[in-house]
Parts: sequence; C-alpha cells; structure tokens
Amino acid sequence: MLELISQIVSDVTGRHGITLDTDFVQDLELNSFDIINIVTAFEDHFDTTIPTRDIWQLHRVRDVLAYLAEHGYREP
Amino acid sequence: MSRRSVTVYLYPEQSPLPRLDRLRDAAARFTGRQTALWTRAEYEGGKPYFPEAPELCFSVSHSGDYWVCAFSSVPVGIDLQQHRPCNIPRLSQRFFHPEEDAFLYARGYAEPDFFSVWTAKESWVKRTGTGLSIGLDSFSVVSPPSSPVLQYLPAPAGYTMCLCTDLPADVTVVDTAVVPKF
Repeated sequence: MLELISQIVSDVTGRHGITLDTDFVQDLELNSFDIINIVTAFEDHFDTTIPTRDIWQLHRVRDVLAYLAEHGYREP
Repeated sequence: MSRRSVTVYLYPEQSPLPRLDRLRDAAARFTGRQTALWTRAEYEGGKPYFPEAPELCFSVSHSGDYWVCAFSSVPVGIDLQQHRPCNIPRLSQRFFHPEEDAFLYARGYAEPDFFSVWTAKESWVKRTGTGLSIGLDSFSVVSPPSSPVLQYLPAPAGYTMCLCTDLPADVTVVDTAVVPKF
C-alpha cells in the first residue's frame, strides 16, 4: 500500500521519496490544493469518498495507511 | 466606509532565506521593528501569529515558484496558486458550493475561473482562521455578501492570487526580489 500511496503522490505532485513518516505539508511542502488533488486521486482509486473532516487529519503517510486499514480499503 | 492598508510581500520559493526568516523579513519591512528573534505560533484552526506582536495580522501562501505573505492591522487572508493540471469538474463538484459549481459549469469549467474560485475560497478561510475543516462547500464566493471583500492581485503568469479582508483595503504588492530592504 505504501508503494501505491507513493505512486499517487508522485503522479499528482511530482514529489518522490515517500516514507511512513513523511508529512505532506512539512516535508513535501504541499499546499491545500495539492492535498485535495491527492485526495481525489485516492477517492477515484478506491471508488469512495473521504469525509472532508477526515481529510485534514491525515498529516503523515502513516496516517493515510492507518485510515485506509481502519476503513477496510484494499487495493482494487 | 474606511479603507485599511495591506502590504503583500512576494518571495521566490528558492530564496536563500528559510520560510520563517522570510516571514520575519516581511514583518520587519512592514513594522520597521527588529524581528530577527520573533517566533511563529498558531491559533486553534491554524491561523498564524507572532507572540511578540499579536496585534499584527498576517497570512501566508505558497505555490510553485513563489511564497507570499500579507500584513495588515486587521484580519487578512491571502492565497496564491499556480495553475496546475487537475480534473476541474471533479474538484468543483466534490469540494465547491453548488452555486460555485453551477457558475463554473456555465463557463465550461475554464481553468482561470476555477483558480479564481479556489483562491477566493482559500483566502476567505485563511482570513477567518477556521481552517479548511469547515468544508469548502459550506459557503459561496460567487455571490458573497458585502463583507468580506475579495480582491484579485497581480500575479506571475500562470498563477492567481486573491486577498480577503473584512473591509475594502488599499493593497501594495512588494516583490522582494526587486525592492531591497532598508
């Protein structure tokens, strides 16, 4: 799943070098537009909708992995 | 209606100054004070402030090759956004107010219109300090009330920049690569 997240982030923002501890804002210096672009890519990939209130709680890559696991998302 | 003063400082993202030092540099330019040791803190919701000068209002944005901040004595929000490739209808329908999506649909989801709406909404949220968790679809900038005031500022080619204030403001944009610090 980390590879998938890394691929989506790379496709959307051109940023590489993702690890579990990577912080989207602090480390990748993404802004809000980048974040929603990534979120919609995730949503398209998993055919789901992530509630807006949850989006801004996903600061690090490990947060995304935990969120996906908690909500039962698996690679299609 | 009285007019307020806002100064916007534009820096290249590749500036040798780290971001906090850019903010201190802009604060020094705006206030004329020594700011080298000022620290940056955030209120709940993420709105930044200087504990050393909590009366000073500012907002920060970055995108692509640029980093900007706006300073004033009244609440202010600024957003700068590079026109990056994206699925405009998807983002509009997913995140924007239905009125805004209808506006963009009627205009063929044109890229400049999309980024005008996006930067207006971002600057609006930054002015209030509530953060994006309020939901971008909870308000519309297509037919906003008389306050807050949205102003589009001159931006580098391929970018849109919007400023949001409570009242009409006189705005000065300073390109720090051109205007030296005195």
